[in-house]
Amino acid sequence: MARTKTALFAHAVMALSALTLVAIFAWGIASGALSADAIDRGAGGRGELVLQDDLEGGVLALQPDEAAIGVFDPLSGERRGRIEADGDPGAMVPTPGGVSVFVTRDGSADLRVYSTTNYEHETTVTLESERLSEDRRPEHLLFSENGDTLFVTWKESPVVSVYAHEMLELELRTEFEIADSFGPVYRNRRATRLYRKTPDGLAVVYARNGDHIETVEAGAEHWRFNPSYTHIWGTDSDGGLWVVDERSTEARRLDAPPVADVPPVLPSDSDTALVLTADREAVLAFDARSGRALGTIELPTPAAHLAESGAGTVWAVAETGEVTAIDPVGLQVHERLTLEGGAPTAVSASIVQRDGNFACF
Amino acid sequence: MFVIGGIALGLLLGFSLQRGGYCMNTAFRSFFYEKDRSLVRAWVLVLLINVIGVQLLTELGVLYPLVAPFFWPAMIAGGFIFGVGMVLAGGCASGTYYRCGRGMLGSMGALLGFVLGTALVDGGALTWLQQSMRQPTLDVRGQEATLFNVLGIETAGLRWVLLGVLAAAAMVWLLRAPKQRFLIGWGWQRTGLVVGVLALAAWVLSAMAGRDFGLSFTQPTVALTRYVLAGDDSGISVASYMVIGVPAGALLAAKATGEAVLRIPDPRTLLRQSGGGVTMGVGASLAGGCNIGHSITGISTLSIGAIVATIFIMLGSWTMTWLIVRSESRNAQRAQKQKQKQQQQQSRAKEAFV
Repeated sequence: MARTKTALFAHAVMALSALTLVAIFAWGIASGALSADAIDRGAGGRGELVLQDDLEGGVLALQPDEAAIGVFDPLSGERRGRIEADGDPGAMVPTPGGVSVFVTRDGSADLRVYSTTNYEHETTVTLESERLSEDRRPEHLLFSENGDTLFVTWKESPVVSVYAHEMLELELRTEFEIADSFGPVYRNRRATRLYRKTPDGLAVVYARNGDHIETVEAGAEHWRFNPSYTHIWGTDSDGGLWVVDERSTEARRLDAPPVADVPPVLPSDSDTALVLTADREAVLAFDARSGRALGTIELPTPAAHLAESGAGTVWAVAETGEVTAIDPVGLQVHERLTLEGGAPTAVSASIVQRDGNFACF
Repeated sequence: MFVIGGIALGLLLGFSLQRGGYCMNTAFRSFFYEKDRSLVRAWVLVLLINVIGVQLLTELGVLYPLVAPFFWPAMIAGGFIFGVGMVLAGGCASGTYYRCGRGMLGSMGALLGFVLGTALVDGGALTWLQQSMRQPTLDVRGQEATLFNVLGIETAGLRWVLLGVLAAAAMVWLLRAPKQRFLIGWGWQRTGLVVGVLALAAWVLSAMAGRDFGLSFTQPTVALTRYVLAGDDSGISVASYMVIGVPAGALLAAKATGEAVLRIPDPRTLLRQSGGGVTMGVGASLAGGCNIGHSITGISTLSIGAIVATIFIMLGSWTMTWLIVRSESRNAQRAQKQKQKQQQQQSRAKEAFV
């Protein structure tokens, strides 16, 4: 009798638990909050745009006219706030969690760090160097995916400095020279390899010590990895479009219409590569892995550069400060916006990531 | 589409695991202690299908498999802890999932423990342990440590030569297998073939959804837990839906054969299995995967880390089994001695009375 009662109780608990779980998932799927497609990257051009609303942070735009960084709503383009940069801001890089942004200043080796939620100055960090003199000036900044490492390249220098980053503090870990290299440095998924432009192509080095592994014969000036880090896309000054396979380092120049010499954009929600045409009046979309052309999006206003908004759309930013928000999945113009405060020279999404960070398979 | 596809694949997998009695804990234990290699043969067949399939699909550009970094201290320690845990839990991660479906309350306790263990290490109070043990990593000049990279094999031809040698060795061993001694459900051939094909299908379905990994249980478990408890849906992927389908598929299989009966263990066993689940979860979260993520999907990419983790899962499993067997044999000896002593005392008392 007691055994029967226990079994009945166990059945009831199991049925209730199962019903609760089914209800949670049914609600999640029905409300659209839960879907494998929303998380995983679908094939470019074949799906629906998933807009992320209620995001903390915003799109950061360097606006030299105001010597400030404007923080804009990624969907409406409304200015949420303004970061008063002390001195002329140069390059900026948000931390991977999106809560802070590191900014270089002209004429200084220091980095100013600002909050992207209250727009206040948080701290100033000095970039130590063992190889460079006092007049060193940081030019480009790049975080590793989990934010524990910051790679810094310097004006007119082939040196790459690697800093350990923790709680907005930086400690010099190593420094090395990539012979004849210039411009920004790029990294693979786990930041174990670095890539930098040289006159001969794209130099690939071992990130731990800067050992040269090989030089990929690809003439592009601006490079960007796709979100799954399988391919790196580049544009050159002759209108050429390049794709390099990360594992085999096999490079190919795509047979595509001439493209503008500005960085391509590979949005994190779709494995699609978007590039601006040479006349800047349209955006070409490609499958980021196969290189297959997916379509063309005509822009209502010629754009100066492209940037990911962080909310699902890609911004084509005009010199006037007008923004055409593009749907990178449906491959069409989504909305037109105007940025208050003038045309930005650089745009970077800084969306606060409260969730995520899975460390298993 | 991916939700339905994931659940359907999970259903088929759960059905096959239940019908084939496919559990890595049983496989490793019986390989060493009972000299029954049937389930290990099924596992090798799964690997054979997946190693060749993944390589072929990679060469064709269908897959771009993600390889876990070789954080060796975490893989060694985590693998060993996972192996110990699965013996106590009475089943590996996938084994625990499918046994829940057939009504084993002890496995449900183990699954809850597994959820707790993974949550503790992956984002919980023991995250520091995971992070510190994953600091030292080994790679091959910035590339992941795979058999191909370690051996410096860069051309497709050489890759296939190496795979051919490995596959030939596995085939010879499989073809020389004696007749299976114990057969309740499917034989090892059918189990290995079906699970192998489903595991390969998981790679393809995941790739279609933009996920560069195959079948896994640990990350989906953590992701589902975070979603249910905290509303964080960032880790939900097609693999999460596969995992949901497994117990349901096992239930269908068990219903068909009349094995779907609620089995309630004694409190001591329930406690041991739940504790084993926690241990297993801690180990899997340290090692970055379980008997599926490492021992099937990881090895399919010829990842050195996955191979090392699997070796230590085996060692952990054998060590714990040995400790249990030794403890049980000592208890039996002690009970025997006690019995003899009582008999002697009784006969002395009888003699004295006479």
